[in-house]
Amino acid sequence: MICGKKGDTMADQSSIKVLVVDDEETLRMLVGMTVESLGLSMLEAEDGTAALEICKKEKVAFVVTDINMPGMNGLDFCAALKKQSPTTEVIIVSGFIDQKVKDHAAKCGVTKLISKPYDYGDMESSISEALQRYNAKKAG
Amino acid sequence: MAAPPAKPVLTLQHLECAVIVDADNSMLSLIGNYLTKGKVGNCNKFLTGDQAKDFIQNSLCDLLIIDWKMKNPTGLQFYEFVRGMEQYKQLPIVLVSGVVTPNDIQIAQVDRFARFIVKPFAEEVFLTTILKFVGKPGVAVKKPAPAQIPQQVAPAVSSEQTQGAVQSSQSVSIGNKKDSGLQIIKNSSNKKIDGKNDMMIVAGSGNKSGLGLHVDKGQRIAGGTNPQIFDQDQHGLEINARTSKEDLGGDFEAVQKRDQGNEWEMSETEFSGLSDDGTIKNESHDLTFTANQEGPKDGTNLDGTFSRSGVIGQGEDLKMQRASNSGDFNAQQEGARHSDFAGEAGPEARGGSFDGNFGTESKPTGKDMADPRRASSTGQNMRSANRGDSSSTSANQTQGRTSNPWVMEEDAGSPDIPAPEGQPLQNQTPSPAEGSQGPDGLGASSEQQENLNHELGLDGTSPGLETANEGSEVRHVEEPEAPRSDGEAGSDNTQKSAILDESAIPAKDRPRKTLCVSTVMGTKVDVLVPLDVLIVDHDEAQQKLIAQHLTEIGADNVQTLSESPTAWDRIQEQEYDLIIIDWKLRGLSGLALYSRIRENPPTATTPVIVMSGFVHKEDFRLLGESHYTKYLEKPIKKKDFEEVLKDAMTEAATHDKITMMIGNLIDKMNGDSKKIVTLIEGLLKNIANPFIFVLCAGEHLLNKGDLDNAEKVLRIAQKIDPNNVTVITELSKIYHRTGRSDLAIVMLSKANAMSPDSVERLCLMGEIGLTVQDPERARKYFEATLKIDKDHAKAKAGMVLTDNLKDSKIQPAGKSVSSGLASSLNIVAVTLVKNSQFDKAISQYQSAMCFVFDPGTLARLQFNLGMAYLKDKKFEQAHKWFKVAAGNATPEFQKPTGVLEKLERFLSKHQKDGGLSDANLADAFIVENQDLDAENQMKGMKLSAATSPVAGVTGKLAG
Repeated sequence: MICGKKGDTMADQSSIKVLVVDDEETLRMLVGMTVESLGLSMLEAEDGTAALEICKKEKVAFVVTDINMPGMNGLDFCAALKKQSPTTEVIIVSGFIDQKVKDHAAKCGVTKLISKPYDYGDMESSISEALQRYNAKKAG
Repeated sequence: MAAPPAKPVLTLQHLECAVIVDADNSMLSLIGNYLTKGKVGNCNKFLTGDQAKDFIQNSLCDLLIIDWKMKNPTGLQFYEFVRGMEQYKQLPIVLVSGVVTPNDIQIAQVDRFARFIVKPFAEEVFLTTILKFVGKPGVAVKKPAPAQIPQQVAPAVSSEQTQGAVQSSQSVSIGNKKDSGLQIIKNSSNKKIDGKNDMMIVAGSGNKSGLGLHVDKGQRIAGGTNPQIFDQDQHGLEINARTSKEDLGGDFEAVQKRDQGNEWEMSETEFSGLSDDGTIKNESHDLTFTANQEGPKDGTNLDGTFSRSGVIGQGEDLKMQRASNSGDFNAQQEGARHSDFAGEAGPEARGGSFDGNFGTESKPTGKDMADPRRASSTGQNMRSANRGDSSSTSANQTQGRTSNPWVMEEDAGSPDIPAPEGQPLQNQTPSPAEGSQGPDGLGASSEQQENLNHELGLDGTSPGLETANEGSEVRHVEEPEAPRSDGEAGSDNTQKSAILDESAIPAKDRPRKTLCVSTVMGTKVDVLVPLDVLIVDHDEAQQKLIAQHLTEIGADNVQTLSESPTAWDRIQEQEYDLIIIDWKLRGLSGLALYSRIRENPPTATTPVIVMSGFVHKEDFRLLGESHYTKYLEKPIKKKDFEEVLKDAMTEAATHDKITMMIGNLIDKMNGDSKKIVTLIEGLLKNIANPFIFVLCAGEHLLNKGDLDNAEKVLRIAQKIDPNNVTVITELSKIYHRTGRSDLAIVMLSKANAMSPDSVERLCLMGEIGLTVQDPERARKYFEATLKIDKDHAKAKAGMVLTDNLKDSKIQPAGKSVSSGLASSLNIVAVTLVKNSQFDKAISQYQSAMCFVFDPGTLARLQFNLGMAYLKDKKFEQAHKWFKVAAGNATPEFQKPTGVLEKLERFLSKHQKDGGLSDANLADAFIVENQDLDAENQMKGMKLSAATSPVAGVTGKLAG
């Protein structure tokens, strides 16, 4: 990220879409705040099922999801997504991350686990890193 | 009449040996001078703890004064070192600091032999404190046993550096004069020192016979004109030698230090440290030097002040620069080499003086030290042919110099020495409120100059500044003198970098480098260098140094100004990425300028670096209130400057980013309170450090005028940090604007107690005084504002309103406080008009506009001002203000538009008749429009709540 009082330079990445999945609108907004501050576009879903639908229709760069959601939870969604789109990265944000969740997440190919309440910088750097990997994959 | 009581004599003569360790040479001098006046036996001064260690270990001092904020070692480290020594467990130690934290106080409480003194302090306060301290029970002052004191213990500060403490006809002891140490006696002549009379070196019994002096480790010898051989078999020798004018064409003083005791021969014409060709060999260590040259402004060649100090690295050239702006000056002053000085210096012939001081901590063998010194003036070059036989050289001669470019002096225009006896020293360290009025008398030391010079990499090794004539990258272009706001010819030497036109291009379209990679909220970010920078400092040398550094790191439009009123004009005209201001400015104090910057919406979030050696602790709190402000303590070192610059730019960028992000989110909610509160609750729940987000959200809502939601959000912020001054102030504005003046007063009083110098807050408190129709309260706070900034437009307007309110003795019956400030102000003015006090009424309206920013209310006041002019028979002015009011008319208040139409029809009709005077036109118009009257309905109008900027006020007044 480049910061400056004036003349911030940021390549136009608004075509890159990040899917944020959470049943709480506030958290979607807060994650979206970070996503948009990096110049990316945000897609939103309230649960895993809706998220999978979006992933079928849209070209999603990567996903940020909660675990505990009504219907399909975040881990199940992650497992389903990996079958549908194996290269799409997933970042999980949750207030309940224990060893069981970690193990499960590892099996589902989750890239990063972030505990709530999260440090804003952790969220931003996780998204930035996911973006870099996405861009690298695209270029490669 | 009874005679005033005699001033108690403060004497500390029972103290025989005091040690002062302070990184600021001026403070060393100042404290030394105080102690000398207090009749302390010996004052031994050191710039660093490391330098003082040997002395402390080898002697028995009975008072130690430590600069708490010094570095390497820090004040704390050095204090602990001293306390760790058995003999100093009960040594009275005075810790000097500009700011004392609770932790510091704890130290003082735990150690009853330690005491803090907060800078700035007056002589009397200082001596009284010391006297009380060393006299208090249990604080024993050890009397050093003479036998225990080593001979001629050397202070690390040269005689030149101790200049502030050396008065004419005084003696300065080095070591313990009662023993066999050295005594330097300086005669009454300040202008000239020759080997016979002016400065005598009296060696004690420790010296060897003949020409040599025996010097023990860490000791210093000041030698006379005779060749001397120092047989030194221990390391740590420092020699202070002066050559004779007859041979050199000018007196010359040099200080050399040696690490190991090879034989060192000194003669009239050369040091053994000089090679055959006269250059100083500097193989293994840096050369430290100080040179100052002064001349009269008499049209002779030497017209200006020449001053330079620094550290020269091994094998590097010594370069010197012009320091003065008083005239053209030498561009080529050869003579760092000993022989050159001899040949060139003869300033007395020009009525000036020359002062050179060379020190080297080297084995004087090896590479040459050439010194192609050049001037940086844009004026004509001239060679300083001060060859002559009458030059005067003195370690004490620099006291009259006007500026030294190589040091970040607190006030270069002030003398480096303390005030003469009888002159209140307090005047030298004015409070911020009065800081603009005079020098503080606290210049920085030559050692600091050296450090700075070296630290900034500008110690002659960087040709940038002086190569305006030599094609360097950095070229400063003189601008025409800008007129000062007071109407006098400006003395500003406005400088811009050569690429001045760059400023015409928006910063975002100009290439910029990365300043640093910082961690912002845990994320690595590239912070970009500021491109457009304004430096405001009356010391041009400091301006140049900072400008040079900024230019080197990529700033392409660095402007420098000396006069703060001009700077304020410039700040209003142009956008800057960074503003650097000295706290001790003339004309408009640093505090006043800073306050204006922060009150002015376009610069409210511009990163500002405040530089000073002395900032009151209250001001620290004020500076700490803004995320966009950083403080940089003088003397400035490159490393510190870089760090502060990075901090300032990073924090500003971070704050901008958070404000932008949270602002965007809030804007999407279209004022929906429920959503906004849910968002804030979400922040609290999901983000680890939510305070800054919540505060930014509250400020964003307040700036948008959404007072209801702003209050909700800011109250949440206050729960997180109940004593946050910014939150308290912002909430106070809301309470005031929503008619809860009592609550606002309570909150503002709390904030004011924590940070008393906020002009914005003081003005707001004055405004509340007007609102509650309490002229005394209003006056108190407007006066406090004017004490900080005597030209503060809003406070001046507030004073007018206060006077009118008091004089009018109007008690608006039926008008509650909640009807608002605008109503109160309007009622006073309307009453004044009815009483035919038109001038007062007009002044009342104009002043009232400073407190109103709501367009509807403003239009009403402007309309009423037009009415006042009309009734005062000033038709043209009335026409003007009706026009202005019509321009601000709102759908709810269209009266000005109608009146303006009538007036213009009337004017059109009567212009055909021709010849009607202004007064006749007014009369005729009033007769034709008898139903016309001032607008009384101010009820429900929004108040400014101190958000109307000074600049905006000016604009409004101008119509």
